[in-house]
This record gives sequence, C-alpha cells and structure tokens, in this order.
Amino acid sequence: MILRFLWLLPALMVIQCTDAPRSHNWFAMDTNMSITLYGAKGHLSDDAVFAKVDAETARLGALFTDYSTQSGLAHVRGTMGDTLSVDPEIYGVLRTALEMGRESRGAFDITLHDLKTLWGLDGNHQGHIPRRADLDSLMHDNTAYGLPSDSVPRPPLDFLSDRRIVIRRGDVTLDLGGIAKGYIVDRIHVLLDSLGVPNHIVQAGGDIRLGGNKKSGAWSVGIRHPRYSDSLAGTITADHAFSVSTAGDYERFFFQDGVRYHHIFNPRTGYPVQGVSSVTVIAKTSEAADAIDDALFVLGPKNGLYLAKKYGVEVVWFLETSAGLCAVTTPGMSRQLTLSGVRNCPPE
Amino acid sequence: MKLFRGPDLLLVLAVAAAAVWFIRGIGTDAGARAVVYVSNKKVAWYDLGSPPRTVEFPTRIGTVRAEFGGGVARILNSPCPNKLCVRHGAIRYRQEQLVCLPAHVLIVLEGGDEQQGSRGRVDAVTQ
Repeated sequence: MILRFLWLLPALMVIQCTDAPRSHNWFAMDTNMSITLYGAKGHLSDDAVFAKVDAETARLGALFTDYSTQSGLAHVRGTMGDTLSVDPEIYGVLRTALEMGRESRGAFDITLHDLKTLWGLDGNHQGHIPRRADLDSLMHDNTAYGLPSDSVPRPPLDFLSDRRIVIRRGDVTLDLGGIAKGYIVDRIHVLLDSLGVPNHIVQAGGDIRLGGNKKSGAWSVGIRHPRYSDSLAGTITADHAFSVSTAGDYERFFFQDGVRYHHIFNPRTGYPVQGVSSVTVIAKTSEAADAIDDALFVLGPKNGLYLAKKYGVEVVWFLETSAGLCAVTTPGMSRQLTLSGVRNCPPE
Repeated sequence: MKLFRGPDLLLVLAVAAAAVWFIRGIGTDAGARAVVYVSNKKVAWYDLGSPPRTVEFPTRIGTVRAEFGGGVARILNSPCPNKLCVRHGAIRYRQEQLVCLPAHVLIVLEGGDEQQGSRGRVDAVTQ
C-alpha cells in the first residue's frame, strides 16, 4: 500500500528544485539591474546564464551610455548638416525615440542631457535652481522651448536609408536615458528566452519586464508610493507577460522654498514638471513603456490620454493635489490595479 | 499486526525527509533579508527580522552607513552628493532596492514576510 505514495518523493523534489526563484543583481549604465529566474533551469547553469546576461549588458552599455565619450552614442553628434553612419541598434532606438517625440508633441525629448547637469540633477552634483540667463542660453536652440503646447517641435536629426542620419541641431549631447534602459531590458528578455529560461523578471531601475509565468499564480508588481518609500501606492496583478515602467519625481530631486525640483523636465519651459508625482505604465515592451512614461509625466492625464490610447498602453498617474495624493487611471489599468492608501481623483 | 514492513518504513522515512526538505525550501522564501552589493560584489546578508542594527560599508567614495532590522532596511548616511539613497527612506518589500549610484552600493530585499500581508508578496516593485 505504501508504494502508492512512492511518486511523492520525486514530485516533492521536482517542486522544490523548480519553484525557488534565483536572482542576480548588478550595476550597469549607472543603473541598478537585476534578473530573477523562475521554474526549471534551461540548458545552462544559472551562473552561466548570469554571465551571458552580464556580457550582453556590458555590450549594450558600451553603445548607449551618455556618461562616456567612448560610447557608440557619444559618436552620434556633429554640426548641423553632417551626415553620420550609426550603429544599427542605436539607429533603431533613435527612430523609436524621435517617433515618441513627434507623437507626444515634444513631451519626450532626448536633447535635455545638459539641462539635467545645469540643474545639478545628473546624480553627481548638488541640485540648485539655475540662473534664468543660463537656462535661456542652454535652451535657446531647443525647438520645443517656448513653443505652444499644441505644436510639434522640429526633431534634432533626420533619418536616411542605410542607417544614416543627418544632424539638424549641432553640438547636442543626445540622452537616450529615457528609453535605452527599456531597450536593454527587452534585449535581456529575448536573451533569456533563447537560453531556455522563459519565466523571469528583468529589471533596470524602474523598468521591469515579466516574461512567461511563475507557475504559482499571477505576476504581482508593487508601485512604490511617491511620498512614502516604505509603502506601496498600489499593486498590479496579471496572469500574462507584460512590461511596466515608472517615472517619479522622487528619483533625483531637491527642495527649495518648499518646492520639489526633480529631473523630469518640461522641454517647453526647461523647468521640472509640477503637479504629477509619478506615472506607471503597462506596455507590451519595456522600450515602449520606458519612453512613454516620461512623455505621460510631462503631459499629465488631461493631455496625455490620447498618447496612451495611440500606443495601447495602460497608465496610472499619481497627482499631487491640495487634498493629498490621488490617482487617475485608464480603464485597463483600473482592472489590474489595486490602490492602497491612495484615493481616485475626482472626475474633472 | 505491523503497520509497516522494513522496506516500507524506509520509504516512509525517505518521503518524510523529502517533505522536510521541501518545507525548508518554502521557508527560505518566508523570511525577508537584505543583500548588500558593493561595486557588483555581494558583501553581506542581513535578516530583517532581527532588531535594528547599524552597519558600515567602505566604498569607492567613502563609507556608507546603513540600518537593517525591524522589517526594513535604510541607508543612514552616504558620501554621495545628493543623498538620494538616504532620502529614499526605508524599504520593506521583496525585490525593493536602495541604490547609491556614486558609491556603487545596492541593497536588495529577498524573500518576503507573510506578516506583511498580500502587499508583501509582490514579485517586484517598480519605482
């Protein structure tokens, strides 16, 4: 009779072996990155998988970082009218970025690198309000600066065939920090799939891609509360793969005279956006989620809904009001999101 | 009447041992701990169920002081210019992270405490 329970032994061992998630954390591109693997191992050991992910991240970091004069991206600059041949991956991400810039009417802008430095919000300096003259001087050539909100600014470069570009604004340091992390997360996701570990979480800063499933229930992603770091403002639950990204005013900021100045700028003013505390986006890819969260932060819910619909993403905005924090959600987000300690904003 | 014969008894013991091993496997996921990385090297692990205690880490730009215990981890002091990691405050959820980029210090929470309710069981935190 006891033999009928013999199957329990291997079953218990299999469950034990396959259910424990395995994590790997590291720094790359001035960002904290992590992967967590779920389920059975692929044809490689976990350490071998981690090593391949490290190598892929280093390769992509060498392309996209804006902190090195040797990166592939650093070579994408010149004077107006120059034609440059560009690395195919940089070319693809630039196309996506400029499309987002156009569709968001300039709310997503990859030419604000020096603005972060001017405000001391690049992570290496003390934050401060810049002098008006310095701000005007820096933003003078930005085609969004001072433009009305319904017009589309001219892009800093044009695309030709054969991965060539034409510079339309000279001496601009391009900053793909608002999209490259998402692209890298997507590449690591594809790599993990190819290595036979389809059930995983890839994270780079606030960009997360959940691949496959974890076999023990739905994926659950907490959204950090914008004002209480040890609390969650809500939890997103889904039983399928998805990407999620958050842009928040609490990542790099300083206070002056009771006002919070942070690193997400309105390209039309050169000043940090006020009134929005954070935006979380659910999208199919991390590249899309990463690019659009910054644009939706700048646009806010009133002006940003059209963009969310166009790209088919779900969004929650956490707004700072005189009555405290409140949330505005798209219909798909409200079905997947459970708010905690934050109320819905009253309808306008 | 004997309940088990010799070989059956051995099998029962083996299954019981496997069950204990399995339950211990689950147990490692139930207690939250903080893992500390300095310059991409894992340098320390701290049980967050313990009373709070202060620990210092030498980094490439100076000493980072952090506190672990009482269910949370937080950075108390750091030589980085904007002190963002200090102002970040405490973290308590699985896969939540504290980062001091200039110092290359990363603190990640692993596991997760059932006492924290369903919010403590998230798979990741977007921040």
